[in-house]
Amino acid sequence: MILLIRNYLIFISIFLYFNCHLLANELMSFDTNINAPLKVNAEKMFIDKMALEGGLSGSVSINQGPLNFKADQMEFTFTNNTSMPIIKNLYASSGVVISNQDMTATGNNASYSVSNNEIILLGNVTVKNNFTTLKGNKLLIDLETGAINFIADDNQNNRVKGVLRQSETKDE
Amino acid sequence: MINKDIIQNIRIKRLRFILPLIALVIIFLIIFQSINIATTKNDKNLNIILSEQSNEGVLKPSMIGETSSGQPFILNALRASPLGPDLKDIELENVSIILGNEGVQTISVNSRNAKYFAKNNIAIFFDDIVSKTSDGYDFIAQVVNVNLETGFTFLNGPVQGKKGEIEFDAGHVEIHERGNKIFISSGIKLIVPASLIQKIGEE
Repeated sequence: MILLIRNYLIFISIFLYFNCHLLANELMSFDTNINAPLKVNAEKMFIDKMALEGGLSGSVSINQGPLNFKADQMEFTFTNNTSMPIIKNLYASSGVVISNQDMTATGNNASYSVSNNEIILLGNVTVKNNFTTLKGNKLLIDLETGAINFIADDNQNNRVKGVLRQSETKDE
Repeated sequence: MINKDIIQNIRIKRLRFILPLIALVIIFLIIFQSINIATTKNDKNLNIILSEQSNEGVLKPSMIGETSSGQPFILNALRASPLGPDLKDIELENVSIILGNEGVQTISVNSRNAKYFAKNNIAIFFDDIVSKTSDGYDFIAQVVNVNLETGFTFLNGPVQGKKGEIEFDAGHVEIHERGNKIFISSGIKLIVPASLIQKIGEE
């Protein structure tokens, strides 16, 4: 009986070890609303109609419903639609922060695909909420569901590292 | 008598030098003025067509020209009156300007009042300004400065802009290179409606 319980505990431990980040990903998600308008704030902006590209700089902030997307600089490409400039992709660089009321993801760069409703955060990615901190190199945020998913790179050194905490008070 | 003759002779000798000098000065002035008129005509490449004249200025004036980059422009107003004594600077009422080639890309500015400064070749528009580009950008600004030498348009704010369903507010907007480049600065707040984002997703 003791042997059975020991084997069961070993199995549970191994399962948790290999799936902790998957469980954390499942538990952690951003609050999103793709039906809300995009509100953009920046110090400067330029539009180049010939190159079909533009840029935003100086404390750039994009807000859509409960989700905030901030960076020092953003560049975007758009299609040559006569009635409306349709933004295809947006690239954020330097000090990228994606946040909700109780969750924050930071990284070096980010790519926002407007058509696919997803943001890919790249380089030194850290996701934090009140209980958990996850680190990795590439994070996919699905803006329709708010779900996050760390994507494994070919480089095996870029493994996801997670810290699961029960509560703030117990840690102290 | 001898003294008087001597004095007269001296005067005549002086006049022999003074009169040709005066003549030379007059000739020089005439030549200088004609050169000056010729250069101003070629310099600016501007033609002012005056349709009707009144005592208080010019009614329905029209200015046709070209910027240094070859961008044509036409400036029309309901009335023009001179600003200052040298009659070079002009004050305009109910004025409009169209920069650029029809069918390619044009920028238009309409306002209740404007001033044209010949020295800098700049037109400053103010009061009830509406500015548009032919590809659908609309702007409302406090003051618009159009440099007729370069063709650059500077809109000072607060500036309200619109392109289709996208609306924005900014402090300053610059339109460069025949309207192909737009620089927005001094704080920009832009709103993209959700319906447009959904359209992008569908396309």
